[in-house]
Amino acid sequence: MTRPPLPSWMVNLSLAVLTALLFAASIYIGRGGELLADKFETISAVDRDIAWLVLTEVRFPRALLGLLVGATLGLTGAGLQGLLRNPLAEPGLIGASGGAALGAVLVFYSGLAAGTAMFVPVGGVIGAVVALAVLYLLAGRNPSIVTIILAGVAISAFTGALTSLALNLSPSPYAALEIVFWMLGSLTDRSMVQVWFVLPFMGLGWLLVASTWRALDALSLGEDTAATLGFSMRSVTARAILGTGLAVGAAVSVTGVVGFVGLVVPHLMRPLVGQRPASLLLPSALGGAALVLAADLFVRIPVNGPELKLGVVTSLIGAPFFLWLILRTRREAP
Amino acid sequence: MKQLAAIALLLALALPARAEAPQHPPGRVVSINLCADILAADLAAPGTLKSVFRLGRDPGDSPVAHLLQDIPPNDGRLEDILPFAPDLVLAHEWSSPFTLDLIRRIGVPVATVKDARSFADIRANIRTVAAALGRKERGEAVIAEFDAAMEAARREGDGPTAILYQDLGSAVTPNSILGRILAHTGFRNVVTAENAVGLVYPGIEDVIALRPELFALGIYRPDAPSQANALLEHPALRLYRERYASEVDLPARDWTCSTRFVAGIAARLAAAHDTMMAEREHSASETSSLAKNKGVIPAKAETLSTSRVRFAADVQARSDQ
Repeated sequence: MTRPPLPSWMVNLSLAVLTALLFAASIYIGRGGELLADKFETISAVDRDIAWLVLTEVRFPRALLGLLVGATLGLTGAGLQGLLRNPLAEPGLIGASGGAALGAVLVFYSGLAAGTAMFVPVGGVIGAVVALAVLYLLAGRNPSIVTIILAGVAISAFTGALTSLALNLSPSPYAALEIVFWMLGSLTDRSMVQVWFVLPFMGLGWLLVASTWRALDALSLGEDTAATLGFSMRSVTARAILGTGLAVGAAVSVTGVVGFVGLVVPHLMRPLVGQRPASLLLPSALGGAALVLAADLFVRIPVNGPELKLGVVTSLIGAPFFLWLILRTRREAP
Repeated sequence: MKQLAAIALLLALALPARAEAPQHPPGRVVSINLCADILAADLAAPGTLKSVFRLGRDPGDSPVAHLLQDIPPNDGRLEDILPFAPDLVLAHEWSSPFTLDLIRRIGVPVATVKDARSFADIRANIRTVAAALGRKERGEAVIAEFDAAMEAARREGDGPTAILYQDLGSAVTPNSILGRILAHTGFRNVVTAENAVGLVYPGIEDVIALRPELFALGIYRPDAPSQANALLEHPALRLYRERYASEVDLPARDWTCSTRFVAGIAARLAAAHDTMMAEREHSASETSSLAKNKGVIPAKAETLSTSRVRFAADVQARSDQ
């Protein structure tokens, strides 16, 4: 194995600093590049309490959710790529995001969420876990790249179809429009309520995915070798999939689908920290957070007209990257 | 040469005849659009409306639902329309062009209403449908009624600032029909930008910075779960609404289609305007007396009028039902 070009602590530290800077910028820079100080002054003239609420319930949760969602997507992307030993694995591509979106939409618009908004993340988590479980059943015990991708495409298509059905049957044309907009992914105008809802699910999901780190390294030598080294494949797979479902389901249920982050980030990190799946997890989480925060800063630039949607921007970055990845994979393959 | 003259004569005779209203007013009218339903319910001669679009009978969408309960619904498809053997079909300019083309090809005349963006558009739609139904006098009567109702809701002067919040966190621009009603009833819309869609999407912090004194909530089916409701419950926006803004609900059935029923929206806004102006005077006199008696510097008048005003509009809503 080639030595990583940089010591991993250095990579992690610089990524953490970058993420912290972007986090601060996310709080400080508003729509159209307007700075927090100006806005704060305008609103303080009305009421200091409300200015404070704008800071703690509009700006702060937005930055925090960007951080949490980005970290979730980066971490689970790296985890899935390690687990499936497949550079194309990503929560969005293999159907987890689609399942989560379907679950959240069903819960929100069926009126179940009227009791407590807590049910929306639960719906997202259930949707994501079910989608991943189906993927695992479809792909079998020794999934080839093709099977995983095909099964993922099938699941994404099916959850997409069911979401379209929900759109089709929704009584209000506005509900249909809302679902479409929400599916594009956005961090705008969320509050701390949403952060508290998703935090336990994400935390648990992160721990489950992170707990597989040593097994992921062993897996890179092959499933049989990993089994000989004493890792139970069943347990490792279950933890990785459940963890991904919990974290991605919670993320999608609050922000909608933010695509391609989980795919792109591990690939950006590999040249920095090397190929070992275990050493990729933390940099990917930090890198994902930085990427989503940066993309969320980018969507605020337009002054007039509707804000760009975060998921649209990440997909615009991610889809060409995905194509380039396919080309490179083809070139490298004999 | 003679032939040519004959053709010219025929054309001269035929053209004005086509432009005129039908000689026999249609007796079997089918409407395939909610907005056309609402107009037809006002204008059609009793018994001539044979079928309406399904939403026209839904009380959540249609202000004339109670009048249409006995009329069979259709889903806007050609096969739904044919059994009624219509001699006139009423549709919207946005109805499926394929359906409209098929209807015209089987020789049934189609009258389309347009998406009304102004009071003049509302009158034009009434005239279009009234002419197609051969009931121009009835049309003019309805227009007179509409104009009178709008005149009663007119408020002049330097009124309170307002935002009209709609679904998806959108706010109406001055050039939309609801924006025009807002101005007509004496409010100053805090949204000044105009665009073709008639909606802008301000963020929560922008809304607060614009400092609207009235939140007019035009949410489609406000009881159903929606992102719009979720947005209004955001802690920052909720605190602002509680402390600084009056509120008025504008039922979607009165504005989804811009018909004469938007006068009901205008009446609600006018009532809100009157309440807020009365309160403004009240609090102004209170602060001046305070200042006189105790010699304190008066706080801003706005911060004193903190009570929420659900008021007259609710009373009216109850009397509507």
